[in-house]
Amino acid sequence: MGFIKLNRFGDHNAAVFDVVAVVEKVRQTFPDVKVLSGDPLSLSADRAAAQGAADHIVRTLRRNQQDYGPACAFEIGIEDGGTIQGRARRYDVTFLFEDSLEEEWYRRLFAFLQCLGSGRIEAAVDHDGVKVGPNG
Amino acid sequence: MPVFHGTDEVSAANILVNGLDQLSWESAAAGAGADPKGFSVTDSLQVARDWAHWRALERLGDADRGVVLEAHPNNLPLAQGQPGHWTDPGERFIRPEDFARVGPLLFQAVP
Repeated sequence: MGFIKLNRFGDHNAAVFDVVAVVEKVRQTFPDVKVLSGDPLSLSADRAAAQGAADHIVRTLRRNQQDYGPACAFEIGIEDGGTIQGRARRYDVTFLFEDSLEEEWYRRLFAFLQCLGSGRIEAAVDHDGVKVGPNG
Repeated sequence: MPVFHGTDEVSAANILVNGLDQLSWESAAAGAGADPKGFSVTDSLQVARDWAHWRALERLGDADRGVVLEAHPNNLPLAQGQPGHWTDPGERFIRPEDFARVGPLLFQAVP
């Protein structure tokens, strides 16, 4: 697996992400995108409540929804039939992908995150069990 | 007193063998995403057991495949909650930028 993320968490000078605007930009940039229904943070708390998780767990997940949401999940189709998993939240925009992702796709994701503005770009890819961070 | 972390057995095995790393953390969290403040631990064994059951059910479909890990707090780069970094009672956390300081064998599985 690999991931690349634009992170504004802890940066008190940066604006939070407008998740709706980010998803619209995703649609414009990656035509083969499927936006998943529902807020994944909300769905996570709902599932926990419905499946009998302890009350404190449901409370924590609801708090996470309030603090880190709104959120939206989406999938970008790529040529070999695979998908890139995407997620936009208040403080971060993240892509998760297989470590076989072609370099051109990685560059497109990187460029997309750069165009969203300020924040820290964090990334790592696991090549055959060897985790490679942003500095190689 | 140790601190505890409850998770599914796959994530627990990875933490025991490799320590903490951001890629595994992001991958395990999947759809809703990881808690951006970091990797949480708790003073309460029961709270950790509850999280282990829930994560195992959520990720593996079987609540019995949860594992509680423990570590000595003096061996971990723990941070406390503060305004803007809300925490549960008894919760502390390891910030993602400190994950590299948590190598293999710092956590042990609770029998």
